[in-house]
Amino acid sequence: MDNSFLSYYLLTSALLFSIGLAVVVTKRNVIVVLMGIELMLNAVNLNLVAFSKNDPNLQGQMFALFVIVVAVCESVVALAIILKAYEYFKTVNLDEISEVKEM
Amino acid sequence: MAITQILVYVGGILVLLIFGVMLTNQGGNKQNTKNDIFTESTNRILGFLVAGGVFSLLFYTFARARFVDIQTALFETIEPTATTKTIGIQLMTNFVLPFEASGILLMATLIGAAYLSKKV
Repeated sequence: MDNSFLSYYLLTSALLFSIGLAVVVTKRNVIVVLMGIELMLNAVNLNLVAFSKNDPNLQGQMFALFVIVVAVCESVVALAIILKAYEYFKTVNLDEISEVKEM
Repeated sequence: MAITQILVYVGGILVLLIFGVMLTNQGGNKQNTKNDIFTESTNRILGFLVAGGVFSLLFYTFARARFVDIQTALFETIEPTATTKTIGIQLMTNFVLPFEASGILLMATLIGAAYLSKKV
């Protein structure tokens, strides 16, 4: 199969990963940080699927499927934790949530 | 693959994120009248510097590598086949253990989320 668009896929994936990294590092809303993590995971998925075009067994696509499943689980648990933390702290700003143990 | 991505995202993650935004954006922090999703960024310069550095490193690597030449030199061209059939067969033969494990993981996630979000 013609795979001559591979470098463009890789470029898009690098761009997505960098945007996700910038979001995770700079933003201080917990949900926006989660969105950044999802963006980085999607960049990795794009790479896996792009390279698995060479593979008749499609192992890259299989791995991307499991990455999606794990990303969903992570996002669900993180959002549940965020809701509990919001109930307690009344904020989603990461700089104000600085203690885990209640005083 | 793109269909899986769109289905999972529209069905699951986007709804979850929107619910999260709506639930955490009510009351409590309305003294600053702006929307809470537009939070201010901290250490913006350093963060964008790091991200730009990562991007330039990746871009340099991808620009230097000759993936297409390597591919044409090492692999014979494979004809396009129906990927959905292959994925189904692989999922039930070679990848049946990760498949079942992901089922158990999803179940554990469901129980864990319900446990975390219940009222104490």
